[in-house]
Amino acid sequence: MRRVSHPGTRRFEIGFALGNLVPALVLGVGLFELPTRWWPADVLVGGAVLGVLVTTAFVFARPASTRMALRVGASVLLGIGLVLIAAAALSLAFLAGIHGDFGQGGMALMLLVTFLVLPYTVVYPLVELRLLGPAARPVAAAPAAAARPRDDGGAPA
Amino acid sequence: MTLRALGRILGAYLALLVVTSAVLVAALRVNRKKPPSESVVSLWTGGKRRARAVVSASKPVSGPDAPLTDELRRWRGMRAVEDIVDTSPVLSTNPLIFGASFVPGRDGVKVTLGKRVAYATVDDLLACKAYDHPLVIGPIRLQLGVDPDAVWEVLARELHVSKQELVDEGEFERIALRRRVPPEPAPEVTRATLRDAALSAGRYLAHAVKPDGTYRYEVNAVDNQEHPGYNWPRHAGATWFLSESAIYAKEPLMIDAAERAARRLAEGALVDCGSHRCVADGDRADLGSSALGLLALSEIVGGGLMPELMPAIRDLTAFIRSQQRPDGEFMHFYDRRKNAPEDVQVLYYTGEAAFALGRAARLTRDPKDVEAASRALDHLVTTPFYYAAAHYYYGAEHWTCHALDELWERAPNRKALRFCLEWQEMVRNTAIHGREASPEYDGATSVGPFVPPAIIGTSTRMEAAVSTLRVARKAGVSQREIAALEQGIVAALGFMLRFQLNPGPAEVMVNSGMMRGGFPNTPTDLDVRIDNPQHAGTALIGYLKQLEQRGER
Repeated sequence: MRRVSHPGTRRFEIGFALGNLVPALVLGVGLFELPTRWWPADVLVGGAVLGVLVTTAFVFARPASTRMALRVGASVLLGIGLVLIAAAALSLAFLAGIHGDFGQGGMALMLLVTFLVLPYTVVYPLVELRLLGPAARPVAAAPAAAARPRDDGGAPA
Repeated sequence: MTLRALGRILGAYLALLVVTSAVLVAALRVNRKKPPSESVVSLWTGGKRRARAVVSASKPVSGPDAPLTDELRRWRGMRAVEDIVDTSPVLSTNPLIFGASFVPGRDGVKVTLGKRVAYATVDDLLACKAYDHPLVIGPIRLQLGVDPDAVWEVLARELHVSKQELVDEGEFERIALRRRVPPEPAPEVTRATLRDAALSAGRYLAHAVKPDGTYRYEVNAVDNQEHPGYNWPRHAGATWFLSESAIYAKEPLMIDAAERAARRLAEGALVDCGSHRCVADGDRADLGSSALGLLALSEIVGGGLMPELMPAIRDLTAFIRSQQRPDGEFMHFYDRRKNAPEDVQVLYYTGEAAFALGRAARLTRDPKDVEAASRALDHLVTTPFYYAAAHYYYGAEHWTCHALDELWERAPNRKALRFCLEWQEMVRNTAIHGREASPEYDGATSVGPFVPPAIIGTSTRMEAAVSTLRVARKAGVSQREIAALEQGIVAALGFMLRFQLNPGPAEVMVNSGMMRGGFPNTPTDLDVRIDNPQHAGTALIGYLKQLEQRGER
């Protein structure tokens, strides 16, 4: 079998592939537990969960596409996270507009919920994207001498 | 994507989100401190609105030139004036968004249909029971500001159009209202106001006792309609407070009602439970009915009334003691067909039994009653050392703290005192404070940041706080902790006094006289169940007695 990465890098990639399943599981269970079916939420969150599952499967089935699959998976998680944060922020803005200042207790509760969601849906995929680094651009027939070392975005060796 | 590009996208996202949120807040916000622009003047009789005028807020609303003067003469009703202090748009007629677009008890609705305008003010929405509307989605119960259907029906009737036409073509606005006439009550917590409120609650219950000794169990203050259903523990609990207030005030009306209710309990609800007697109305007896029954009978006999009830008191103490386990816990049910206790536990009953046995022991003078009560109290406040959540997660422990107070002189329990003090610390630290739309809720126990507080929830915590305060003073608890406890009590009692139907929004009630002194479920849900005035009244009279003992104003 063709070797596509160093053993240490591969372990780190598999770690992210499995790690992606945790927020996917949280989102999936959360979606399943919603008391009513509303198609925009079902499609958006269901699609995101499916997307993450597929990219994780890719990491194992096609090691050559691992980096690309992980980037897509992390981007999907980050995207859904940003949508959820926006929905929460706009809902809070609506309620703050209607009720004005609704007291420290209410605000503390809302912030607590937000900060419990952030690590899964925003912080984790951002860290993942940072460590994976940018996608490599195809290099056309450029003279080898012209090639310069590029910032790898922080990806480990 | 490079890190820099990702950072740019996230920055743009954040900026857009902040700006959109700020625009949304600014568009929907109302300024409730603004001087009013217009006033909605309404004339009410028998809980129905008979006439309405919308006038400039600077126009006088009393005297010969006041609006609706002729109508007032004709109907002999009540004139109510609600000032419009600000308005904001309603974003959608989607029921969820529309329902959430109003603050209960503070906001009304204005609709413009062509050239016609109609208003649903706070009084209108109270009258049609449009506030406190629950939206149940599976296991989730969302509380909306208003019931959209009820609001649309009122406004459609006003404009003589169909509801559909109104929803399709009407332009809705939120109107922030402030009541001017009759003025909003803001009583201070003093001996005079406490006495007035506690005795009003007692009189409400006295009026609610029917000739057969049962109560008008749950009544809606708006239409004076009684809800179906009855509950013996609540009958007994209400009779306990009614007896206490009757004996305190020595008012014949209350004494007579308390005796009727107690007689009904002793003669109509006491049945055989094996070799004992218990309170039950079926084959399954619950401990709570007997415990609160015992409490009610002990209160009335202890106050020098109805000594003929003493045998029933002895019967009930024997039954309750027979239900106790060796570890102090009680078996909460008794199967009368099998003549066997059921070792099942539910909320409240152990605390009720401990308190009732302690109170009854003053009459029976049986040390076994004090010993049983003391063991039950100890069981209630003992948790395994590893259960850290016990310091943060409490049930409704008012009966536990009453038992602490009741037993303190005979069987002091410092662990129970610490338990009640810790619970009260949590109660006051989680109390409502500083809600912009409803500053009058300060001190109340919150049930969520966007809904009006339940008065009974605040009342039960305050009756426990008052019992805890009495013990804390005797036990030499630090002055700082006592002051904090008392501050919480005064704030919460102030909230309760404000929303007692004394008379409350009498203009929207069919028979405000019958409801006087009652405590509604919430400031905007005007159902009065008999345990609402019981719990609130117990807190009020308990604190009143402490102030009297201390000789304070």
